[in-house]
Amino acid sequence: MGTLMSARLRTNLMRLLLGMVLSLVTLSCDQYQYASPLPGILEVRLSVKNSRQGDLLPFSPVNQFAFILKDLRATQPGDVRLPVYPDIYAIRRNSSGDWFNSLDTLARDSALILGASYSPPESFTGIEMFTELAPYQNQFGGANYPYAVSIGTGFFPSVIEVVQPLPPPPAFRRLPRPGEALNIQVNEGRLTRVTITLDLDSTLVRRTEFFLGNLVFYVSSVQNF
Amino acid sequence: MHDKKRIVRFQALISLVTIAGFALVLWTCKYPEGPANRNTVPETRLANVPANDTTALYIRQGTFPEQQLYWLGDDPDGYIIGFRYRWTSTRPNVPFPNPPDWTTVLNIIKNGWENSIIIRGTPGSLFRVYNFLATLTQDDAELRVIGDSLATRRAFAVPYRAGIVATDSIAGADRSVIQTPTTGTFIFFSPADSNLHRFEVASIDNSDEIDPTPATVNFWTLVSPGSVAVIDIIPAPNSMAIRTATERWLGLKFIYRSLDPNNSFGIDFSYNVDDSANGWSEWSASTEAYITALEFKPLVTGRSNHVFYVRARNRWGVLSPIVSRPFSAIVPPIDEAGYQKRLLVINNDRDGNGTRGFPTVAQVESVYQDVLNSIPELASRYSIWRTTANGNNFPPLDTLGKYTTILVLQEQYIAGPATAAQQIFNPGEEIAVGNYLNAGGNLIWSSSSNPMRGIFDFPTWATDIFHTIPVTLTSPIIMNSALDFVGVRGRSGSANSYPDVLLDSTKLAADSMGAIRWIPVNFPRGFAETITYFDSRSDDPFFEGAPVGIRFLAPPPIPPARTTYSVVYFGFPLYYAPRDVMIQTLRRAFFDVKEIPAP
Repeated sequence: MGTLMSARLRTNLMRLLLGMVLSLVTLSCDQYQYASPLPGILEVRLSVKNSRQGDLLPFSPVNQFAFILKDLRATQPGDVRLPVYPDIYAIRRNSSGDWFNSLDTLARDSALILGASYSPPESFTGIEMFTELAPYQNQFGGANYPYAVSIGTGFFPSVIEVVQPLPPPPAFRRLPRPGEALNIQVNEGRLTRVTITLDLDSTLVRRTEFFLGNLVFYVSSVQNF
Repeated sequence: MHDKKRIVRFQALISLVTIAGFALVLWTCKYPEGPANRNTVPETRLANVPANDTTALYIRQGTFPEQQLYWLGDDPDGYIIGFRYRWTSTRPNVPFPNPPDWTTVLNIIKNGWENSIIIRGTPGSLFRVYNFLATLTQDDAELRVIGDSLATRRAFAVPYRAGIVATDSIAGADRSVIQTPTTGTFIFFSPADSNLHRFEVASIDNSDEIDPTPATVNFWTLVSPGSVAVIDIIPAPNSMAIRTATERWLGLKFIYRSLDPNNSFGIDFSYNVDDSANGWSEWSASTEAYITALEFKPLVTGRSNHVFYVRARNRWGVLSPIVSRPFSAIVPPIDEAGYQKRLLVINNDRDGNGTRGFPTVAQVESVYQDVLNSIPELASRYSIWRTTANGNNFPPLDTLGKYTTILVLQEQYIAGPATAAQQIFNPGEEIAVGNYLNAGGNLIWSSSSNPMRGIFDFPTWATDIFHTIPVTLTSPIIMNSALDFVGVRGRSGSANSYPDVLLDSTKLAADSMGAIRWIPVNFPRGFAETITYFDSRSDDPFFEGAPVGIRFLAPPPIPPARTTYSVVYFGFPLYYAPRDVMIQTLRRAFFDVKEIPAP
């Protein structure tokens, strides 16, 4: 009888113990140490503002005024930066940067993607860009210019030299510009599209025989899908 | 027992003396608020003092009136917070003039401060300023701000944390003069054969007290060798000059240099025009000067003679003799504000035989007179220059400068490539046209490039003037030698386009089939635009639609400059177009160069 009671007591105690352990496990798994939501996607596109497209600077895939994007980041207060690579699968940007033609019709239509990246679903307050004018590639027609706008195709495209102001403007640019505010909200599992506009009217200032070239960007829209 | 008494008495005496001593001390300290000892004045010493026989030193060592001096100060009851110095110069047997004001340098150096500190305040403010600056730490934001301000050498108020005190102004010292608070390099002005200088420096202690007996040195210098200015290049005679520099025309260019016996650096130049006494330019290390007509004294329209003066100054302040060179220039009337618009037609044709396709000069002229008379805005304000009536010469620049627009006609060479004898444009005329455009004139040119080929440096000239791709690159492919050119097409879809042109067969040879040959295509360069396109009779796939007419319209000027350099180049002889189309085309061209209002 004593042995029987002892066995029953042990069984009950074991059940009680098991119940307590399960309760503890259940309770502890219910409380995370930190929030772990799913990421959103932050996509940055290029648009071009060009009021001279009717004559001087028409959009066309064969026309060229290019810049090189070497780095792109979304920023939060406190020096927190999110690198935005060329696409969501990329792990880095080319060391020589990525080449974008601002006179391409894709740029006019905001279809050029400067970068896309998975992002924490948080708010970003700025964009940092490292951009510079792309060297002019087609050294034809005696136009040995370091930087140029090239219009047309065929034997002799119209090539206009682009001269950087002195001293050359810094390649590192912060958006928004001073005096402007920016709030880019990335939501969990959703796409946030930021459109950065290259203001070609301000970027290329016509002088007598050349353009004075200084890349001027601004954030023109933030869309949440 | 007796000894014991003596010992007791001696101890009592010692105690009495000790108590009396304490009492005396206490008595003397009875008035701790009494007057303190007077501050001891600081002392100053000079080092690296020039020897009194600087003359011998000069001859022996070749030293110049540039001396680096060192000084230091001692204060027995404190520390030195600054120095002040001054110097004056005279000649033998002439007393020293009144000394100039002192310059005060604070005796303080900190990381990030490139320049020593000159203080502008009153003596009573020195320690206040010194104390504030000396107690700044690397963590203080003011340290960086003050360092940046010192580098600009402009005076600024001391940024006390409690606020600015109006009298406490400091500035960065010129590093070429004051290297440290105790080191200075001075150039003692030495214009005479021998020159006496007196340099004085006095230290200032932390009670703002100044050494009443400054350290002083007197020494001699010989005259310092001066430079000689040489003018190397002046503008060509009768160059065009306008009142305001533009991006294309910076001014009449003069180049000069210095023959400096010291072979030294730091030579500056100053120039003047037409006046060697007043109005000299600022001293500059540049060896070029660009002169606009505004600097002429007096400024007169047309041809005038002037004198360019330049002088050099070495780093010791010794001036060279003034050097001058005469030059001449033409200030075109079109540079005058509000000048009345006028048109000059330059008939640069040569006589044909008068048959269809080979007009005489008079025939060409007659057609254009008829056309221009049909444009009311121009009918009463154009003139004609017939080159064959002027020794086959183009108008000189001072004639061109009276007209706001010139229309050049070179139209009859359509039967074949122009021969050397038929070249009707010479290098001097090339330059004159360029100068005229730089002065604000406008150019409309009616011809193909064929009559201009072979002239001196034509590829460069046409590239510059018309803004076309150089013919050295395009010539193998652009000349249509077939009887194929029947006209041009304007830019379709543009409200302001040039009209289509179909050649007038009544002006062409009977066997021409309405076409002419030897018409090249012209590719625009830079900001030039195509205004008309080749209309090929055979629909030659290469030539059909290729650019023929080019225009380069100047951008709005950067004030106060004016618009300069607008060119319309038809690329074919407009003479062969029907009359009404000639009128439309010319109206469009005159509007483009702003000679007439909108059509």
